[in-house]
Amino acid sequence: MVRRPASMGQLVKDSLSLVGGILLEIMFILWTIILIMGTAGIALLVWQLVG
Amino acid sequence: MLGLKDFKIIVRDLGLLLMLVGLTMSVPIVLSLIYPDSYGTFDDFAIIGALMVAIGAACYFSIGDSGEMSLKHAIALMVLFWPLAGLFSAIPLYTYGVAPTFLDAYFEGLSGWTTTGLTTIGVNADSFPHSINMWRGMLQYMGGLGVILISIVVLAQARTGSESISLVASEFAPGERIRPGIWSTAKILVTLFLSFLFICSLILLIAGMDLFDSIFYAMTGLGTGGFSAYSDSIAHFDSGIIEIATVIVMIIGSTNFAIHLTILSGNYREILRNIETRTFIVFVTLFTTIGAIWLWSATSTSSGAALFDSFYHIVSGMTTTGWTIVPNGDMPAAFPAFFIFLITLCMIMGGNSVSTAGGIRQVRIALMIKSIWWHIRRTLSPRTVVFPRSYHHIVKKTVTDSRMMDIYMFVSIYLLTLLISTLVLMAHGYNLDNSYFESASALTSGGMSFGITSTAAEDGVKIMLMIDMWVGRIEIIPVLMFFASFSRRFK
Repeated sequence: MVRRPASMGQLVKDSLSLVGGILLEIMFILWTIILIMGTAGIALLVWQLVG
Repeated sequence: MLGLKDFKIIVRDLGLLLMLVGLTMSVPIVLSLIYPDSYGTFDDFAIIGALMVAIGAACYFSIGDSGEMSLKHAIALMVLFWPLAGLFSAIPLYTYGVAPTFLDAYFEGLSGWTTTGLTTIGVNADSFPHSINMWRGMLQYMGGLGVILISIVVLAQARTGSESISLVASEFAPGERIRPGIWSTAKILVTLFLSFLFICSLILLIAGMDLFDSIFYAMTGLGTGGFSAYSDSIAHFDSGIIEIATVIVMIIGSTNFAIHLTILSGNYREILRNIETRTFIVFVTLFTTIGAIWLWSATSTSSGAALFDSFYHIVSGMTTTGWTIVPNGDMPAAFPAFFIFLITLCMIMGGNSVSTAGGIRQVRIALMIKSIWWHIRRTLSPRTVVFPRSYHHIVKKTVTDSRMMDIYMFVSIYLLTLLISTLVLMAHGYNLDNSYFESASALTSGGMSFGITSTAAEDGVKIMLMIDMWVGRIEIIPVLMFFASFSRRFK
């Protein structure tokens, strides 16, 4: 069976979907950074208040 | 025992890889035509690149089809590729003159390919031509991708899924691969890695770096290598936005590529369910908190700076990247020993399994912690009760006794290697702290320097650290298997 090359439209759609997915993942990483810094920040604040 | 026919297969495949690496020298060759400061490097890259392609082609085409690859060939290829690639990649650094001795150039080449980031010549990186710096960045990018690809393609072709040979291969054992075919898996990974390079370069560019720096730091960050184009690493930029952007790049590089693909296919819940992402988030939070409290208590740092310094270096350590935001990169002067020890601990724990990061890796750490609980529960329960031992990584996986045995054996040998390396460095006159930190940094491919790595260090120290980088990158056991394969006991 001869494999037909993907159309340019499909290629652009796949690329945009990949880039969109990566950007969404980066948003999640940013959210994780805020979560970690927030938790550590609160713990540091509690330490300062108690100490 | 390895025979002549086996050597032919190994040399043939090494030739193919050498040819591919030689072709990648076309990038610094092009840069040497663009940047005026790089004009002088054209000859070095063109001659060495052509030599690599010629030698590689001669090995590959003269031997031709000499048989199927088996496990012993795959192990030999994995063990020999890094020192060979490092050796050839070092030649332009030496011939152009950025490295004072060939050992320093080889150190740089091996550090690049193993994505370690330790450097003896990096203090002068500001004055290196653009083509040389780009080549350094490319070494770490290709090294990061290479460690995943070689493990998946080569070891899977040799039909093994054993953790003792490669954690990457075991996570891609038959039935658990992210794509059904090995080559389609490899193609997907290369596409993904190139896409990440594009997006990360764009992020760094938007954050404030110039075009060259953004591509360079995206490469070294995704490879979790940590080379820098400036002597004072990320501190050179003195920008909070760039620092946050580099954190994103480091996390992407050290995240399991199977997780990336699962997320990109729309399964967002995997982030919170996966054993490796959970372990990473928990330990980074824990160590950042401890580090911030310690930095605030023991130094005159403000609470905000203590929090960010702690977070940045814990992430840099755990992803085994090795970037620092300390002025002049002088870690021992900036941080108390306790915090440096914490960073070292992070480097030893390492990043995710199928990633460019090094260290023991999160999945092993998580399973060791879980195994303690499994052991207690089994000991305190009646013998007839059977407990399921499983974890979630893309799919639910069951843990066998043999897998736990592999993990504990690996960790024992890993820590023993660290101990031996520390002793060797101490024998050269360094104190315990620095010897231990520097050995851990080389073995885990962490790359933060605590003052020992420099052109002034003795050759014995450099060679020991190079051995650490090499065996640490391929996780030690394949090296032992390679040498054992010369024995007549293994016919």
